[in-house]
Amino acid sequence: MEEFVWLTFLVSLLAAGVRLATPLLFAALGGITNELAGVLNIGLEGMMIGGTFGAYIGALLSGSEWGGALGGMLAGGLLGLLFAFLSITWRGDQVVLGTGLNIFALGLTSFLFRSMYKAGITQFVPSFQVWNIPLLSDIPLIGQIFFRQVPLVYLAYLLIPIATFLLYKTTWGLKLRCCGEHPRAAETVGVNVIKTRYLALCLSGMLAGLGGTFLSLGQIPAFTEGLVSGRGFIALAAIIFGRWKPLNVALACLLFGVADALQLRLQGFGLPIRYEFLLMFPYLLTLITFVIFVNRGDSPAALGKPYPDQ
Amino acid sequence: MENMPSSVFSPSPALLRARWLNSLQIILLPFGAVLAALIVGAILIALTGVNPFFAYQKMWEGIAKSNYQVGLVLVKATPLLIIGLGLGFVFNSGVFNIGAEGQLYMGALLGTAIAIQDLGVPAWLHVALSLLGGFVGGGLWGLLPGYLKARHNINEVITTILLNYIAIYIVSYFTHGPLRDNPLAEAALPQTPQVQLSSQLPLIWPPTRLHAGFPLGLGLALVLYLVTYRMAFGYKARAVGSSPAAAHYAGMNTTLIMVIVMVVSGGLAGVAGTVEILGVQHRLRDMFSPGLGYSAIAIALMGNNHPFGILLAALLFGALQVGANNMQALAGVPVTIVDVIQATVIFFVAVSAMIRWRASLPRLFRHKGEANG
Repeated sequence: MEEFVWLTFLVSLLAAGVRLATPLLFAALGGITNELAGVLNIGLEGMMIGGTFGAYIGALLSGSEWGGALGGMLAGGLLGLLFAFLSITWRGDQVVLGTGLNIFALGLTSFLFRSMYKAGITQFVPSFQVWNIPLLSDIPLIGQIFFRQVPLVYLAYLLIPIATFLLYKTTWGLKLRCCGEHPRAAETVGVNVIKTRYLALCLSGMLAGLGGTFLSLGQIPAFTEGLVSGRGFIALAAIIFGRWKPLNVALACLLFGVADALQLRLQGFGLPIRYEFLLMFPYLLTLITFVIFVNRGDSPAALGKPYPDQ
Repeated sequence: MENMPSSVFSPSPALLRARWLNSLQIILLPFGAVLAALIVGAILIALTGVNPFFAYQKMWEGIAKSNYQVGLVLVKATPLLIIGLGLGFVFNSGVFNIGAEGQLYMGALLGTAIAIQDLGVPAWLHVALSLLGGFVGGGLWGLLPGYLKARHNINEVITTILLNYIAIYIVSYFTHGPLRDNPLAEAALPQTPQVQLSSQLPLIWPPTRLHAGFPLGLGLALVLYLVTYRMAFGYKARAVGSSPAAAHYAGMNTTLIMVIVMVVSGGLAGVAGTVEILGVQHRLRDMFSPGLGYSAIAIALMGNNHPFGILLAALLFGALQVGANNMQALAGVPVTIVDVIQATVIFFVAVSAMIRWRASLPRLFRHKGEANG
């Protein structure tokens, strides 16, 4: 009996971990793309925030959660385009601009949302429902953990091999990584560094926007301010933790997802730990792993440097 | 970076003229940035169906309609000024501390912990001890990321932002737990007891809410100006920002300098948090800051990291906030428009080097390829 309780707990913990890792995973895969192309994107958080709102509006206008996903990608992609314009064409400092983008996205979404609902009553929007994958969802344990999720979760995990293939096995990926390692060399062999970095940032924004979509439409269908609350930064830490390799980064995201699921569950357990410390746990874990794993010196060589350099 | 150390040679007229133009641009650009940001704000307001002229009129009335409102502007500007001074100081050294929010919380926690005790000491001493506590609390919260950055080159942006969340939860724990006012009462709010009368900052312009924290901020601006531009340490700190490698070869202890500027910047954020408690709120509340530490980033950047520029920027954003409250009440425009305006200012300041570069080229010599210089 005792063992059964523990098993149920473990399965529900891991299933929740897989779910909570999803927004991190979308954002982190986006972040890998722009970092490999040489752009440091502190604004990942802001792009996710844009995604949460874009998804809400998209779902509201289209009456469908997939329209919401489109809206989330569009909002994130537009923020990516703005970031690209300011950091590449106008050569602004990437860290300063990223910080600005976070404040911009938070302020703009809150401004628009409050303007829409001055009375404080919001509208219902459709949300993603769980899709049980036939056969696979019947596998004991594994099925419950991985295959009884909303479709965005499957999409996020499908993107891991796709991203690995595109970034590390194709000519396109090689050219993109070249822009992050040695942009001048890339340019001399005919790669358009500016165009590549623009594209990487837009892709990254769209993926982060999907992460935001998951937050507003993947669980409880609602837009609230503070829905993202630092997940963009946790994704940034996961990228470094996973050394820019999609699979390793995904594992890092999964670790943070499970940590989040664990603290949520422990809150209901009546442990002698105050819930404030449980809420703090994912951030603390991220900080510790970040500090331990950060400095192995294999980050893209031209990361954060504007191109063309002076 | 713009403020190179003065040459030991007597400057030529051409150099003087160039320097004058340079200062003019440094002063004009932030104002252009604010103007542009206000235009972006106006477009957004118009999109939500409100006449932007009407909205901005309400904003202006909120700022200037009475002495009370002017006093409120100075009250709002005070924490932004003090945090902004610290951020300008640390940005000058090339360390991008975005952890002021957490440092503010930790400073306010320690400062309040001292301010609520009945120490039986004179008021000036109680205030001084509380502010010192604020400096230590914020300074320690800046020490860790400063040390990690300086000694191990660990990106301070990520560590400071994660420490922000951690600090907010620590304060949440104390206001719900050990420091909670009247914990046995059923409806007790998550806040500390009121600070002792002896530790409250005196009001200096009755009947407005203006308290002694504002002149304290002015004094700190002067001190930071002197340290940054008139003392060897400030010169070294700026040298580390311009070129860490060159500063290192010149025999400076860059690690120590980076740690010190981070501690000072965190400490000032902590002082700002304490001033906000001692002068305005009189209790430490759970989640009491509306993102002051993030707004101050825009203020430091807009003020070009210069103490006097930061003072102007803080006054401007204090006014925008007070005005935005009036605009929300009377024109129905959400106050968060101020965040959009702040972010837009950050964008313009971030690309200002390029704006200046493009503006400085004579038309004849400008062609497409040169932008890639």
